[in-house]
Amino acid sequence: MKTNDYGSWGRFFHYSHDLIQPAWIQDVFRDVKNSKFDTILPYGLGRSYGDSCLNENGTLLDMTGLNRFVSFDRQSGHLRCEAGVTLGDILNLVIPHGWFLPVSPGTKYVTLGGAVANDVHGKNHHVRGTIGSHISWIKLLRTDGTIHELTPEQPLFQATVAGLGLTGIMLEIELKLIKELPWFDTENIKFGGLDEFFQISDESDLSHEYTVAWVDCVSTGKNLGRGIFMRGNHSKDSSLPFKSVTPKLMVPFDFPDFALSKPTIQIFNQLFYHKQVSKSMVATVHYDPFFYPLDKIHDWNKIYGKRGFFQYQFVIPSTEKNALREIFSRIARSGMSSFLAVLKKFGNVPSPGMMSFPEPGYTLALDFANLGQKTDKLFEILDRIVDDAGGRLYPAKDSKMNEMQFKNYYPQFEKFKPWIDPRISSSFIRRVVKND
Amino acid sequence: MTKNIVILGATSSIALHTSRYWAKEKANFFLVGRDDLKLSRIKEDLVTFGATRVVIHNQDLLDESTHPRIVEEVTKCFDNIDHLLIAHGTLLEPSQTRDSVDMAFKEIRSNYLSQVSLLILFSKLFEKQKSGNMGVISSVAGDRGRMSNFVYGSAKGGLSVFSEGLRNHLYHHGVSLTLVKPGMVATPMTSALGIKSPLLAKPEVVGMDIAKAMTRHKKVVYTPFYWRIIMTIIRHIPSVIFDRLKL
Repeated sequence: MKTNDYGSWGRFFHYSHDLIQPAWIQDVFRDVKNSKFDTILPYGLGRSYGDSCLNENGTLLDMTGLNRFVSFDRQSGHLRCEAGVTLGDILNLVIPHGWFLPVSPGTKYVTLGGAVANDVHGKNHHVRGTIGSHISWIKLLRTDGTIHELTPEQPLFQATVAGLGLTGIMLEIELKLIKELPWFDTENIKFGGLDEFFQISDESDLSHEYTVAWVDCVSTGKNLGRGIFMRGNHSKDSSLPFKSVTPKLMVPFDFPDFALSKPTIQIFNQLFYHKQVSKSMVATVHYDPFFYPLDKIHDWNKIYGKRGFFQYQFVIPSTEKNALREIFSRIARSGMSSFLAVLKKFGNVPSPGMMSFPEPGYTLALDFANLGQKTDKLFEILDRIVDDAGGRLYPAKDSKMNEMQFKNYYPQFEKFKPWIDPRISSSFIRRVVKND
Repeated sequence: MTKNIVILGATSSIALHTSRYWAKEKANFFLVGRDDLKLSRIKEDLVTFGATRVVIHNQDLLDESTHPRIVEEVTKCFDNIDHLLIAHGTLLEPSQTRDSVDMAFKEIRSNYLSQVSLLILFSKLFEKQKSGNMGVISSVAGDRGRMSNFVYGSAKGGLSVFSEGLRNHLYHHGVSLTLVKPGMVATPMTSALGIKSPLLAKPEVVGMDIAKAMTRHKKVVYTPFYWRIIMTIIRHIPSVIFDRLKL
């Protein structure tokens, strides 16, 4: 079946795909074998921003029909399920039994398979690392029909975690949960600039499992790099209910361009910063607003209109503080900054994934509306600073990096390449590895 | 007390989500479907959600001659049934069922006759136990014949009327019957036909609605809820106008 309905979160790429939608694990191989196109790519919920989840003129294998659970050991916290199960499904199942996800990205509307393929991280990276560190077993189907049961010491497992779906089709995954409650004792602290951020971040990483900062990317001068630092720990108060909030708002159509004009964004950033009057604010917060504030607004990506948007996320070593300052001042000066600038210090917990993005240092994620050449120019400037600082970009978010950048960022690609399934490909990998 | 649940057509995605609701309450299950591999996947899923005991039974529900045997197996398993859900059905290409007597009969058999057979046989069990609840998945398509799918619609319409009558009868025996009328649901059945619509509901939502309605012994449930309004409007359009529309 031909479809134009499968996009990525940035809504920048518009590709046509052939589609297969198996409803049962046992049907996957048959459907893959029968698919007409040369290459296929497993697709979850399309929350990657760029083209790493797309396969132009090829087949997409919609994994969301494979959403059954296989087992849940309530004593040990080992959960086994099909790869199309979402993190939201997992939370609903495990929370009443006292368990929680070891790693939460910015949305719970991702499949577990997608989370593993991108080796996602969260606010607790400095304590728990990426999700790949909590995967104990993967059942992988290669397109030659062989099924591999993988454990972390195997190279194919290490290639599959953060492997962008290219090593085969993950059928089932086992995840080790953490014994924690779904509420968080949080504190929000205002900071006036980056130096203050660096200090609070280093202190908080010792005392708090979850740390992240929102940074105002509009203000320049003495307000450059001001923001709000959010830190939290799992609450120990077991009297709080499990109840989760369901989405209530939605963005029903593409916003017109003026909705994101510079003044609008300035006002938004001002409001966000000044919403909090006191220096520090303490609260006990449910996991939904704590981890997934944007999940409350369905299809929030439509705010950026028909032309789509980009997310720019990089990591640079923690010694490169000046590069980070330079980046903030460039963004503020460009006047193209966005609603969301999220800053966090990654820790040094290693991931089993060969191609994993995080490494010790500062990571910043920002949204940019697609303004054509103007945006490209800014990205060129930012790329140069990131490259010079020895940093790298995140494939799950990327729409722009070129072959030279990719190979610089990920020299381990040569080690990864032999594990790519010959019939699996993506628009992203064809963009950054041209000669194959 | 642990509930005993019978699901006929247990491998459908709607049935799975309905079953999960009771699995969380640690219910026992008797699942009927026609594929052992699929049934065992469903069994694992329900055990994961907390089901106490899950028995799977491989039987083609479209073959009525097997129905007495199913009733027998269920009675061997359970002394008492709390909920029985009839969830199986097919959706063939509407233009084929409109043009071919064979296809039309096939559609009516799998969406009406096989359900009637099961309802008659199982209602006797319920009459005897003088308690419990039967759930029947019909469809909004049975509320008024429309050009887009009236063969399927007529089967579901027949099933709705049959169920209403049976509910009336069972009422006097202390048994309740929940007639479920889902709108379009995003399932393998609809995706195979390439059906796209903003009204397409998620099987999670529909499955949960069904379980809640049956647990509360509701008589009729439209799911998602807005179909009650849509169908009220569609039923009230005068034929003079209705016939001009392409619904």
